[in-house]
Amino acid sequence: MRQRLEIFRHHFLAWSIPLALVVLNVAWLSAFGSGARLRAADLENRLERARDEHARETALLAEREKLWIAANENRSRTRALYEERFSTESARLTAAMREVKSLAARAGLEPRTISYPEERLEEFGLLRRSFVFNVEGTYTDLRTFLHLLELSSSFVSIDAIQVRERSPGALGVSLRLSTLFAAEADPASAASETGP
Amino acid sequence: MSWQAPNLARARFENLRPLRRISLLLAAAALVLTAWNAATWVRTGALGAERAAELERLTRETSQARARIATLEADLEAADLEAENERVEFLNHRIAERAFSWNLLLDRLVEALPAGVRVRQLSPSVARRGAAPRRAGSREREVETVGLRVSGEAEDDEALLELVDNLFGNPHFRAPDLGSETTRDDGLVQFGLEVQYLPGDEPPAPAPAAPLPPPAAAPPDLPEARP
Repeated sequence: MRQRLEIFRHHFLAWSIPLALVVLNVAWLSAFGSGARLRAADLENRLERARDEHARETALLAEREKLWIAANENRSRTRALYEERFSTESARLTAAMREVKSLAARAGLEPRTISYPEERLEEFGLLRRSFVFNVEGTYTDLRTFLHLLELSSSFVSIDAIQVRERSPGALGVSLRLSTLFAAEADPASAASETGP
Repeated sequence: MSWQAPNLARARFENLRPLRRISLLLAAAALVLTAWNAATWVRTGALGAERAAELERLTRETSQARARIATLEADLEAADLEAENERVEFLNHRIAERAFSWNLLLDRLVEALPAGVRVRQLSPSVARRGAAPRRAGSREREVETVGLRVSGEAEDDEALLELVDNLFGNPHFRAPDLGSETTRDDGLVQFGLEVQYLPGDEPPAPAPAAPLPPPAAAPPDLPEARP
């Protein structure tokens, strides 16, 4: 036994260098390995949180962008409706009056008295102008007038119809139609907006 | 008596086999461990760099998204969506009024009118008229109904009750409510009733409600933007 130990002592470098390397490697592995695992776990946690947060913010951004696009689209469609369909009284009132009278005449109805009550819808920047009149005619005349009005491209709607029988086959019809106009810009405020 | 051969070796005999075996074993272990550690080092470094880059990218994109959200929210707040929605709702009701077909209503009412009943007055009740509001994010439109007030004359009670039955049975009308009837001296029965009219082209399916086609002559409905 002593002889064997003597051999190991005699050839010290032959076994001690590999042993030292093994020990160093094991020490490094245990120290760096556990540290690396901890760092990797920490990084993974941070990454997971960042991914969650990113997904949440991206979804919120998509929702807000969708809302913004819808709001813009609404605004542009509303503007088009106001400018192209409603227009202002100065641009379209007489044309609307002419059209209502013309359609009634084509249907065989002759309104003798028409009143034009006006309602201001300030919160929407609109004016509602009504056309209230009584006519006499047949049921067929009334249906023709309604048909012509439905086919018309102008924004005139029927609010109420009242029918009375005057004589067999002849009706007294009270009609209330209305149309909308975009409110005219106040000249004073328009001037101040365009001013310096 | 035995003969012993002379020991001619210059050095003392040493059995080096165990030493060599152990040394070789330790060297092999050291080699394997060194290779393993080097691979771990490289792998950990590469993975860490990759993850760190991803983390940096996510953090950068998140902060950009936050900044954009803040800008959009400020813009949306300035746009006053509530007022915009009210305006859109109002306009949609007006569009629904414009698209409402009185001819179709009269045709359908005539279908329901029995002999001996005449309608004198017909007016939609404004409070209940127009398209019902749509749910945000839903493309399905709720069934549109228009409340109608009808007054007229019937030759007798039976004709009036037949009208009410016909309205119950007609798919374009719903919930007729006979409010009053008065028999005049000449025997005619004056009546007033309210009924819900479904102005869609086709009567609605029992469930779920079928989406109605858009009006032909009127401008399209405006979508509502809700915060």
